Amino acid sequence: MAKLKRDERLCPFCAETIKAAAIRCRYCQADLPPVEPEPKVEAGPSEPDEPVEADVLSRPAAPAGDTSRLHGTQPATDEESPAPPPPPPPATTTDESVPPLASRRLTAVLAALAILAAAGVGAAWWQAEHSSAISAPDGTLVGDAPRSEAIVAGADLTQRALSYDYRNLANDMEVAEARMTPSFRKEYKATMAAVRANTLKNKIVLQADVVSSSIIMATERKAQLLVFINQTTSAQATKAQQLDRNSLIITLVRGKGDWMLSDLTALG
Amino acid sequence: MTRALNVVLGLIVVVLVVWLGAFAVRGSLAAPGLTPAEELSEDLSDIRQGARAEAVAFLTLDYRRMDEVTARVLAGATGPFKKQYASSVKTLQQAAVSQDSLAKGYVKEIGVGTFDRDSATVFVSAGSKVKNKGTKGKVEDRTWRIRFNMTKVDDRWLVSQLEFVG
Repeated sequence: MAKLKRDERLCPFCAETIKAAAIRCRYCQADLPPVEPEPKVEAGPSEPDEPVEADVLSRPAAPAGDTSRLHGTQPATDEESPAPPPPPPPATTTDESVPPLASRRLTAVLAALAILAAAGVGAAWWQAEHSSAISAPDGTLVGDAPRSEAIVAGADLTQRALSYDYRNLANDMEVAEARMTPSFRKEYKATMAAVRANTLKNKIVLQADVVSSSIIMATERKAQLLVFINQTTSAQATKAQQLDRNSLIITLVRGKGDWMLSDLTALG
Repeated sequence: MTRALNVVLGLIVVVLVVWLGAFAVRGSLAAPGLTPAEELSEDLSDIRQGARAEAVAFLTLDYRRMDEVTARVLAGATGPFKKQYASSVKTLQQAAVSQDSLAKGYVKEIGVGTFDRDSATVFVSAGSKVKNKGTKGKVEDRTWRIRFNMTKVDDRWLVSQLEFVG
């Protein structure tokens, strides 16, 4: 008689060589208690396997006195049960009951999960590669359209803040203030209050022409721009005119709506 | 056999799920290599670095070592600007030597206008501390507004056009 292989055992009822994992003998059709795979696998306390016991004992087909033979192969099942075999998975109604880790069903589930997760990773990767590239992960604004928008807003708001005409001062200030943050508006008002008397007296017209506007740094919420302006100051009272070529750093912030001017500093 | 397969599959699932989690938490950083947005962001910082180096080189003069000074400018130049500068090197060297010219260029701020993967428009607010026979030994601080057109050549951003902004 051939030696038993690792995955084989003898049927306790008919003594034929059967698969160790079998729960029904292929020769005598007797129901078999599942074999404990390795003693260490299920070391934790678990329910006594009464269902299995009951099943075996209540089988009318089981010949009398077979419990002793059962004991021979399965001492642990009956008596102390220190590590009873795990109850067969409810779904395993085929003729094989196997330890969970070796179950074909688990293979199928894992394969399905792997395919699903791979699809998810693939989709996320594809999205990362084909995103509209508005901003980099560090927040840097890189998209063409939003950058242009900030550049144009920077030019527009600088021009508004640095141009005024003594004949239209209130209106010019209103236009400028409309797109300033509250704190910068305060600063602007204070400055304008200080120059107001002189502006009216000397009939001053200030015209700021933006020569260039470019981005020092920008995220979707905050932008710093380098703005070159040529500012002409004409005092109509004295016919004097002056041209200043300035470099400015302006700061824009944005909530949900438009960019607002929050700071303006002249570079020396 | 099945057991080994299950263990391997289980590991694959764990790795994929962790990776998926990384996408959820860190966004496109979880993608291997650089995404287009990351590449553009890298370009931006390379553009600024190249512009700064070239502006400083261009505004720096030292009549005692003009070869070194002009070589540095040419190293950051390409296209029309390189041609133009190369053709004026001799005149520049003679002028610097005859005037005992010393100038130390510096950059106040750099702004990038439009840019793509190969070209960029850059504005530089710069200055130079100049001393020569004309300044009578005094150091004069001059400010400049410069516009660069930059071109990417072999992964380096070089200045292809330079003009002073009036």
